[in-house]
Amino acid sequence: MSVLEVNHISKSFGSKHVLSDINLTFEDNKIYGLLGRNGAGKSTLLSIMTNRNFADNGEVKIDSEDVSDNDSKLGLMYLMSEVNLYADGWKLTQIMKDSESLYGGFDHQLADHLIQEFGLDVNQKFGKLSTGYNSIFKLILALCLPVRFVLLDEPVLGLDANHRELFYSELIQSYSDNPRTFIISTHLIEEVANIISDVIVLDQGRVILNQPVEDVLAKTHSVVGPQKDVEQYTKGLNVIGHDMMGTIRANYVYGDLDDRILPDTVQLSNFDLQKLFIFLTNQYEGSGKNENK
Amino acid sequence: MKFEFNSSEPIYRQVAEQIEDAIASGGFAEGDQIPSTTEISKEFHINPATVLKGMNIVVSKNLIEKRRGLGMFVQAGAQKRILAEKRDTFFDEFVENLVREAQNLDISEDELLTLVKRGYQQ
Amino acid sequence: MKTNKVTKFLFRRQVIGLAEMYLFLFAAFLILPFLFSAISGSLDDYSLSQQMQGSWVTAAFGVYMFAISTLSYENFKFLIQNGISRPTFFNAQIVVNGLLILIGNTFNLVYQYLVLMPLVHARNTNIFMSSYSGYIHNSILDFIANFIFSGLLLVVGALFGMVIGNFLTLFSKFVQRIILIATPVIGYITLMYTASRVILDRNFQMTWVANFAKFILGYRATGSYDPFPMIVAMVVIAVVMLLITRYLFSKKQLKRE
Repeated sequence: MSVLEVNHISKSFGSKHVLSDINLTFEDNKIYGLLGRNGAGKSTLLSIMTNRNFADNGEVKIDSEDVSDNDSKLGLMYLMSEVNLYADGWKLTQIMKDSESLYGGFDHQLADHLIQEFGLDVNQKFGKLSTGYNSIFKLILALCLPVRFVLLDEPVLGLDANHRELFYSELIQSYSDNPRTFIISTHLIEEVANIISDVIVLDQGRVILNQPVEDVLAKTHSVVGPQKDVEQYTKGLNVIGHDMMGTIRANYVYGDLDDRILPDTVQLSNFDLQKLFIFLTNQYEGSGKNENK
Repeated sequence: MKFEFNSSEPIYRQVAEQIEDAIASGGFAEGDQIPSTTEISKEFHINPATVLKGMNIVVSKNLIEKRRGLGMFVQAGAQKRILAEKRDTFFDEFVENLVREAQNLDISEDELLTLVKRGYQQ
Repeated sequence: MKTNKVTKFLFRRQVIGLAEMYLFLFAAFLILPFLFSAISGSLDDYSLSQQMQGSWVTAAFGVYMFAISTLSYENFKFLIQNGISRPTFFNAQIVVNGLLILIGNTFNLVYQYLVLMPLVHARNTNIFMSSYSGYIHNSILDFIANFIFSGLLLVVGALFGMVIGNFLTLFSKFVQRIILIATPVIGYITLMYTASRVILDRNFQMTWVANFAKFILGYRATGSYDPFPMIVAMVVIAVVMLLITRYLFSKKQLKRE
């Protein structure tokens, strides 16, 4: 059992606050989705968690022990990201060997399987890989190294539809065979919506949502019907967005409904993570955080 | 087995319903093995814990059973019981809606019955 | 526990680089001149022993140590990707540099004593031999002093490279360039200013600098210099630079590219 904790992490670049007092707990054997718009601070957070960069404040702990300058804790994590930390001139086979030696293990059977499934030529130099195969190579390392926490920052960058499909299937297979914690940062929410067990939304350097997906979805309610009835019904509720089609209005509510009476003319259903994300991060035209004012 | 998921209901409940539907239609015959949690997870990119939760609903209804080391199998009589259950909910789920919609459209009881008969003849 | 693994990793990479450099130099200084002589038909003028007398053989190692010591960012990137902390990287790098210097220094001295001295009867093929040899009237102790002195010179050179390289990697490429251009310019101006003062201003003779330098260098009016003040000075400088390097390693971060 290992628990990864992020305590009061803050980070600024110049006068820009990239992360403001981030507090998160990652539990064993769950798959977390770390969602946020570009520049929300996802990559910065992940790179601070793996001690690649320093936070201005706060600490990252695994099992109550600070990870910074701590080999045994840093060795429990692998962060796959867009940034290439392997030198262009190195051969893939050599990188795999060295990574195995430094992490103290490597799942060769799985690696061989993945190399074959993805059609990766491991006798190449790292710098010669296309964007897609660059991601694939790093994903193979991420899945085959003996870590408790697999951190994936935009894992399917440059992968075509077939390879994306294959990756998600292999991710699930690997997770089923060897349960461990995954933290997947992505903007392709729909693709991971059902894979992740917990969702964390970062917006402008703050955590604005951090809950099991099931609980989150149970709190999403789309209220559709004639404008007057919908507005009457959703009065006082946390309306995070709306749509209009003629006189029919859809109000999107996030939160628990009380026992108010639903008019016959109004229909209730849930809506999905992607929509919720768009409303919460205020991306959607016509939505607003202050709709209830 | 063909799964189609929507966002209006929790995924685990949809997993349970889809398995039941497949049993009801004979897609999974009695005594047959059904796909494992991992297989379903991999195929439809659903968290294994979610799939397991859905499967457990079906297990708790005694429609499928776990055989140690082998997998999940459809229980004897499962199809019949699912069909019976579906009949029980047929009135709530379909007839009530049908009548309400007919009333909205000003279709009288006789006219509706005629329509239903026509449906059977087709 | 991981220090051993990191040491092995760094040693393998850097010893291969060393071998590559020697191969390159061997080709450049021995084979190429031979080929040129052969092509121009002046093979009689080519002399292996003359080619091997050049100071490049012994100088090459010092240059290599300085160069690899300035470069650490690439290894840092790979190691942090693989969950290796900064202190472990520092410890391993120091061990590797120590090992390499031991190898290189031994090679240099063996080359000097077994190749250069018999070949050209040279008695002063490095700094120690040209200035300090003979202060100790015992050839074995003199050799040991030579080994320590030359080794320390390499240590100081390597640490100097580490300080410069690791200091520069704290900055972005743009700031690095500014520092690399500004430092020589400022240095030159300072030097010219001081020199002009010394020449023009009778009250500004800086005799203490000359006296201090004489003391450190172990200057004797007659005969060989005393090597020990210099050895002690190099040890002190090495310790200070080691501490600075350790501090600079602890500040390493991934740069935003």
